[in-house]
Amino acid sequence: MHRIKFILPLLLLVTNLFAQDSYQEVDNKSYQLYMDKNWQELSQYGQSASEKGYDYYYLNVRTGIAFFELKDFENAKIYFQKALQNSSTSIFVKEYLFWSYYHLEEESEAQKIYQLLPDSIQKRMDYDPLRIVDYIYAEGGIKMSNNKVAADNLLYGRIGFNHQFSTRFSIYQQYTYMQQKAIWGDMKQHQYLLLPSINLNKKWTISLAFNYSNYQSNLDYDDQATWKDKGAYSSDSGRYNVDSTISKYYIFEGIYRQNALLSQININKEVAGWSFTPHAAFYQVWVTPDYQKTITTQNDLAIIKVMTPPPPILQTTHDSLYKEYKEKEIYQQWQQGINVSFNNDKTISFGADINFIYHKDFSNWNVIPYMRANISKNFSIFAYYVRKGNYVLSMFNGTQFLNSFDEIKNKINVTGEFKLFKKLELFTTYQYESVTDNLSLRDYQLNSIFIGLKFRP
Amino acid sequence: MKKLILNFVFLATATLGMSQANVNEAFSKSYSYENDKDYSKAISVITTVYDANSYTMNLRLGWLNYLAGEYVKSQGFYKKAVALESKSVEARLGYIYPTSAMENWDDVIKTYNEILTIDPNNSTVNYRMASIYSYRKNYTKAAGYAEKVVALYPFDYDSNYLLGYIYISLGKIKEAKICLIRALHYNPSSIEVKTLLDKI
Repeated sequence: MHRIKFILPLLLLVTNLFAQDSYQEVDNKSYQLYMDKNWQELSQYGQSASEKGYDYYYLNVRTGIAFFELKDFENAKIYFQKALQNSSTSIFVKEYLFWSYYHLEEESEAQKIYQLLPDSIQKRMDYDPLRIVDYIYAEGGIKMSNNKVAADNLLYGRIGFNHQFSTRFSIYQQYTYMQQKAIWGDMKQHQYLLLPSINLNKKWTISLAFNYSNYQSNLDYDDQATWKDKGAYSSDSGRYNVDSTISKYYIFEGIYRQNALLSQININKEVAGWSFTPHAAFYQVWVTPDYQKTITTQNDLAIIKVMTPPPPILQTTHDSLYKEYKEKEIYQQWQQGINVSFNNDKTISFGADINFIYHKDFSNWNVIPYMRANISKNFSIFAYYVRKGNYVLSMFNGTQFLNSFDEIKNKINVTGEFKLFKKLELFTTYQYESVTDNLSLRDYQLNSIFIGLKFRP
Repeated sequence: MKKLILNFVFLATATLGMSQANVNEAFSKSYSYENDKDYSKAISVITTVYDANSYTMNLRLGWLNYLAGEYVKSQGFYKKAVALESKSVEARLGYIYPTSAMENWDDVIKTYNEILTIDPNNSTVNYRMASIYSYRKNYTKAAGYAEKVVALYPFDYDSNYLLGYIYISLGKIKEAKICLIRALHYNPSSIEVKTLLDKI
């Protein structure tokens, strides 16, 4: 009984503390706590009122400021975002939201808000958006082949730098190197990517992508292929059975070089959780061949006339073809499409990069579905699936480029993004792909592991 | 059996009549309490006869709760009224009171847009939308709303003054003068109009 007597007033006290049935009570209490600068109690009180369905501008602003003063910028951000949903033109809230993003090191979001502030406020704020090196991204990895005769393991590495010149203008540049041995020789490729991006007002962004690559193969290819044909044919002189075998021997020797440039323009618009990026790209390859190609063909043809005694007629030919490739060639391809994604609650987003590929001899549609899941504050997963024919494919607004003419039957990519520290993020990627080599027509699979680090100096 | 049915019908009619009388009395008392600014009593007399399916009761409670400073409750009653009469402009205009008092301006604009879908030429809403966008310095959008009001009420003082101000901000001086002179004809002693006219 004594225990009940002791607990009951305590319970009543707690119940009374959270008995927020009245708007006036919530408003008066939160205002008083705000005036008293009692940030700890205000943050708890505001959060509790919010959970009970109170959602209005002043309450959200007061609660946001309480969290901000307590340096809980993650919660401050949430309440300032809510206040902006109540009154989207509030400069006061935008300024607080900017600093919340800033302290959370979400610089790109901070800069989007900064652009919305009037010049007079920007001048007052001690913020310089200029970052000569905004971040550095380094990635390396290996693609392990299951058919090392067709194509050996592929080694690759890349390094990228993002430069933030103003809140509206940034440039990302990246160098990639890869090398691989295949049945036809070995190849090396140097790639350089340049991505200028301009943020405009009202959630419009224009970006360009220039992807230059220098590719070289040392060809030492000695291969053969055989086709067999059997069939029955009729003519005026009677019926025949035909049995033929055609064997071809290929020898490629020399060097194959190409320089290529992808130029792409992307226009992005965000509307209520949706993101639309129509884009158009042009790809041109300047081929500088310096190799010899020899093909030897052998036909073994047996024609047997039915009802006529043997022997069969046997015909054997050896055709030799020798050609030196020195003439320069140009390959051109167009790509246009739209990248659409939807992000409802900022936890999971789904999207698709839809493209139409056009070459003078063929055209193709290509769809790349992808998704992002923000599992926690410091961990998210990005995944996509792609397949393509014997054409090149620019993906995700030109940030990734499949510039091999090999057919990719299936490719699955899963990347885990970990925020290790405020200035350091870790990216771990697993990829599976099933490929048909464009020259030897051999199939092989690649299992790949990449490790990437993003560092903000 | 017939007697029983007749008794039942009589009883039901009498109860209905009595409850209707109670509702009338409750409304009457609530007006009286409202007049005395005793909003909690004005609310409580309606609450005693409250029927959730009554449009008028929800509308009345929305208004009284707004006057009592209970904005969230007020919004709730106005929302119920809108649910009962989906095309009601008055319930939506009522919803604006607590919503703007809480400075939830995006919700206010959304509600005004709903009204304009139902009643595109509603002069009150067009005028207020013009004021909001003018305050937000989105003068092009503001002009569109104000022009609609002036077209319907060419001699209205407030709309001409507002449109004149908007036109000055847009650099349309000739059009601004026409509006401001009309406003001055309506109220020749208006200092605010004279001040604007002196500027251009």
